[in-house]
Amino acid sequence: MPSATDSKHVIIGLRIGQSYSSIAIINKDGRADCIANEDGERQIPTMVAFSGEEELTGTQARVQLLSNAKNTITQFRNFIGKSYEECKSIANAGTAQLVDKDGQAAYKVEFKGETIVTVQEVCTKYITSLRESAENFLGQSVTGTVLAIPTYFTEEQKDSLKIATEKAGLRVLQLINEPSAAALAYELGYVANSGQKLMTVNKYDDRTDVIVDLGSDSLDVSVMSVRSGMYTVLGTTHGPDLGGAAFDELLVKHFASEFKRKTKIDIMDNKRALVKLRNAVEITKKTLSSNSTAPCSVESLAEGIDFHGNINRTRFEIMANKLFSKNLEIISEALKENGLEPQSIDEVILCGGASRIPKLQSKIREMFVNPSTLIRQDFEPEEVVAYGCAFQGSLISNYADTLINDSINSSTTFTPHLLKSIGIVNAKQEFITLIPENTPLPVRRNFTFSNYLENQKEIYITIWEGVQKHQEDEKKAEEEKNDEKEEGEGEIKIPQRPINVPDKLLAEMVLKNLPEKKTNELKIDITIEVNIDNKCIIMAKEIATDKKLEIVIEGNTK
Amino acid sequence: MSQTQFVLGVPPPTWNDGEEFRIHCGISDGLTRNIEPIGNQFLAYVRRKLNNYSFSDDERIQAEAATEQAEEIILEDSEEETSELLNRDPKDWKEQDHYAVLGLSKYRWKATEEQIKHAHRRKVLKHHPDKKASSGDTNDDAFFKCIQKAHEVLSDPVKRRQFDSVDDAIDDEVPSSKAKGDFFKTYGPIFEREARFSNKTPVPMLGDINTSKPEVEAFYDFWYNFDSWRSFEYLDKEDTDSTDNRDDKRYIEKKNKAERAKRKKEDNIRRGKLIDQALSLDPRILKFKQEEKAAKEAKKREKEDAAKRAEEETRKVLLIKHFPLHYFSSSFHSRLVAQMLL
Ligand SMILES: Nc1ncnc2c1ncn2[C@@H]1O[C@H](COP(=O)(O)OP(=O)(O)O)[C@@H](O)[C@H]1O
Ligand SMILES: [Mg+2]
Repeated sequence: MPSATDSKHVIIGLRIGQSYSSIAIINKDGRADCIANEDGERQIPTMVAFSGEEELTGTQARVQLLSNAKNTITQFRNFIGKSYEECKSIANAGTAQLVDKDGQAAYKVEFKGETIVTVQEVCTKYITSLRESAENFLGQSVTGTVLAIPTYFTEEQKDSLKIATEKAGLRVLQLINEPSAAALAYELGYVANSGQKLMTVNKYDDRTDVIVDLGSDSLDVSVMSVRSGMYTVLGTTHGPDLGGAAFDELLVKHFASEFKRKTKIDIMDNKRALVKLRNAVEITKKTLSSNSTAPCSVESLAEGIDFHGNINRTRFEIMANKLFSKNLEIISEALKENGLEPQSIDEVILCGGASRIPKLQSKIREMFVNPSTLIRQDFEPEEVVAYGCAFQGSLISNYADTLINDSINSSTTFTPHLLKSIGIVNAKQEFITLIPENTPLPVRRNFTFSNYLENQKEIYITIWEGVQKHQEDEKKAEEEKNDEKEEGEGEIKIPQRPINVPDKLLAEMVLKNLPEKKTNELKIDITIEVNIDNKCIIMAKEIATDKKLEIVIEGNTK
Repeated sequence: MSQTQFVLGVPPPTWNDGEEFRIHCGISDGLTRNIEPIGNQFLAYVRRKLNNYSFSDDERIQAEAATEQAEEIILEDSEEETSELLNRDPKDWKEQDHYAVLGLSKYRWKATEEQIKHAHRRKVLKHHPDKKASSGDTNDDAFFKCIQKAHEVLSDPVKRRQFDSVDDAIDDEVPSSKAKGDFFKTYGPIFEREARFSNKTPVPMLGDINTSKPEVEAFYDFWYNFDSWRSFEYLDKEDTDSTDNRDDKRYIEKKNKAERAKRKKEDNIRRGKLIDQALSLDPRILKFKQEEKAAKEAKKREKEDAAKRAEEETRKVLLIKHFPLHYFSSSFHSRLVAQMLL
């Protein structure tokens, strides 16, 4: 894999999050890694502040939250490309004021006098600082970037972010969806970063993934089917108000009432005090992910009085129980919308910083109880999206812009997908899936089959369309037949993953006059190709004698 | 999915003898969706789609491009393969010049990992037994084995150091102290070649006649404290793997170790001798000595001068005391004073 830093192209992967951003590169050894900014932070606060004559970003800007909140801009990413009207009700209170500039969302700050900066300008300032951090780190200039965007971004938002990035001096090679970037990071990065081989379900690495992204201000669940290295998002569910900030809010309430009990001062309407407390409880919450208790301290929280509090993990988990349930509901909703159940999922990829909360992780594991479902959290959850961008950047860095644009154009990406699986029923009457449902077309696959019996001179091949069926249903049907009443009481039943069963016979074919061989010694090469008109071509060939037969099943032309 | 599932039986008894296939119905229409424009397979998809290639077109074109590239790589190969080299017995790999086998004779220890990888690929493409068989060549894979062995040694940093330690193609000789010729031209390359064994980097180089004294001093200081990774396992007479007997193994190991230590000691002595000799012949050392001497003399002279000057100073004061000031205005007196001062 070409690394981003060894050629004339230096491409970085960028994730601009609503609260934190990350910059990733591909190392010389092919691993993805995040770059720390000048303050040593790999998770760089998505904040811009104005202090006197200075423009501050990231970690430096965050410091301003405590003393200079009215000139500190936070939580601005989601406002890019939006009108003031769309944003005004959800603007962050207590920090720089959101104002209307010719209909656009903008901020009013004190900077060499009163200044209005549009959200796009804020983004440009912020991304410029990320580019500079990367350049300082790498010691060379960065030429371009692949940028991650949330799946709910509108076309206007994408355009506006792209412009902001290009104004920051970075050529935008491509914008990719955050969950897709996370999935790609595991495909390309797992081997490189961990030195281990990625476990795959089958030769073509077919799988159904759920990407759970618990960021700062929302939970985003994407269901994705992966077929021979091609990714299709089947659906996304956006749960606003469910991210890490919702946990922060619980802690804010908790400590505010503790403060009130101690001092009789109510801070719930004191915006400045709330900004300070929110900033502090975020650290408390993070500490609770690795420690059983955590402190919370705010200097001069209100009326000059300091606050010192403590909370233990159990208390926090009880407080957050409802929130956990809401998160899980969103996940199962996402599955249901796509007709899936937890046991049909091959991988759950955890991303977003708040997915580090241990209780949430264990609840997700409980939900995906089938042991063949892998919960992937090998990579830093905040960084994995940036990794995916960096990998994509290294794949396309040598392509011309026009080619990249042609390839990401919807006339290229919009393509028919297979509705149902196609398979062969083998000699043991089992359905062997050749191409699973949801596979993008055109597709071609190749398999080697063999003879079941000794000296088998003819081979019988049946091509079927399959449907998913629950193994439980199958078993139940069998049990009823056997009329056996043997209920495994107290036994925990792990839901089994659904299997494909033959549904509709498409074609039969027979290869004749084959050489006499022992069991399993014939080599029958079967190639199946389905084109975008649903035309299906099957070629079977006995390798030693080159005996072959090709059939064409025309698409349904109704 | 276990491989044994991929088994096919015989047609049902109702199947007609003459029949080859039956087609029943087409596949169901699916949904049209967006695929994510990411990853390697998507790039292949785009290549096919934008060029209007079928799977087999694309496969053919890719294969052609790959062989073209392979041929280019083989063409790049410029070092001649002598028949002696091609007819080597892979069993004698210990005596084999691994760099020559990969066509890297002129680089030797300077060859980068990347060069070695590349050279190996080039040689494999050229000498792979399958290729020879298909071109009607003898099915002799001896040289291919030599290539694999060379790669095995040179791509493993530990094995490569062991081989580089005893690389015959680079001589170890210390030139005779009486040899004529330019000191820097003779000794510069020698130190450069010796430098490869240093654990510490960067290694200071000999420099030239104008190198400053502190640098020259640092140079000799470094070399007298040279920390060498050179080791002599490669020359082990017997392999511990040649026996299963524990005692034999221990005995061989002990003998090997002693032999290695002896060689290492000899090498250190050799290097010490080289540095001594260089130091004794180094024109700069002579120059520095002369300069030092000159500087000392200059200092001495300056001291004497200073003493003289001090003496004169007192005389001058005396003179001024004894002569009234107006005497100095006339040229006669000034000459007189000048004479007295000289
Ligand atoms: N160790 C942790 N435990 C719990 N929450 C964490 C931890 N680390 C980060 N977070 C939370 O994750 C959120 C940030 O995640 P991130 O994916 O960067 O969000 P975004 O993409 O919205 O900027 C914040 O709410 C932060 O407090
Ligand atoms: Mg995020």
